[in-house]
Amino acid sequence: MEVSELCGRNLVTVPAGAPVIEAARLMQEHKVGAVIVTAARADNPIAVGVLTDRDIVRAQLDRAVDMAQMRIADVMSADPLVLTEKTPVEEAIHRMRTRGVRRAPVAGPGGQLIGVISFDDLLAHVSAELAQLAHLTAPSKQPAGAACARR
Amino acid sequence: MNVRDIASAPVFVAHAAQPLAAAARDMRAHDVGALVVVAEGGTKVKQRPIGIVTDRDIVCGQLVKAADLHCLSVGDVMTPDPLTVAADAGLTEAIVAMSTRGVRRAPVVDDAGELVGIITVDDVLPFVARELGELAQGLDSQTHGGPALKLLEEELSSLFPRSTIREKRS
Repeated sequence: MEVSELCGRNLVTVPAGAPVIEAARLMQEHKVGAVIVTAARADNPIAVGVLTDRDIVRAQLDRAVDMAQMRIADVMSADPLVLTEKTPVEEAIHRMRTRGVRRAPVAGPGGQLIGVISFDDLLAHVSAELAQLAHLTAPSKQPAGAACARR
Repeated sequence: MNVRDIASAPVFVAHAAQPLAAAARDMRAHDVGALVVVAEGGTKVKQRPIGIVTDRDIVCGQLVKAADLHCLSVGDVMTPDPLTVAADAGLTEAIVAMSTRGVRRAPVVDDAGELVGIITVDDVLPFVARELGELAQGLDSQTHGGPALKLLEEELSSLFPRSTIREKRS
């Protein structure tokens, strides 16, 4: 299983040059705690950072400037862990744990941003595998429809 | 396994009238993503949760109120009436309640409704994973599975105190 099969449902991006308030609006609109910060490279956006709600609050405490006046590039965590779409899920979990991050941008063959994989995506995947395993060991308790879902 | 066994205590609190920036500084100082907002007038040991405030609430609250962090109070942006779970509730009960409300954390209260801790998804996961690990070890050594697993678990529990099992297996 590769990360490309699990990633991408919640990709919310914002350009690095935008003001922080734009990222805040996106977080509010999409109900996410983090956005992927991008830079355009020959029409293909690449991930250059990750910005979380916590980054914003802490920057506001340090700088005492309005969200409209702060640039995302100055506040984001730069140099993010970027996984490729071919990264195996086990390796993704290991690398995210090593870096201590809960989400990582996913890049295509040319380095262009194609999605994001989160801790929640990985957890859902592991849980689903476990549920399948549970059906194997207790086939009588298999819920209706599970057999169809497996096909 | 009860909520009390897993919940974090002490829990960091704020008051609704407190300046939001002060609460945000507390969150940073304690490296937490949320504070439980408690009713004013409680003592250090008697506190009733009336809300919860997270990093997200602080960011989105500023947009909703069209005001800066430094001009707002905790009460302006907190989520009121938080889900609370009883300290003696079972772990499964807590997980179901949190998942139904779509929250990742919940203040833990005693019989009198007083705050005694906080439980988060991050706290719960390692316990679930560990129980699963114990189950898997049981599967390895027992080809019969099913009822045999439960027997094995009970045997182990009676042979070793829980803490010893954890220590040996981690």
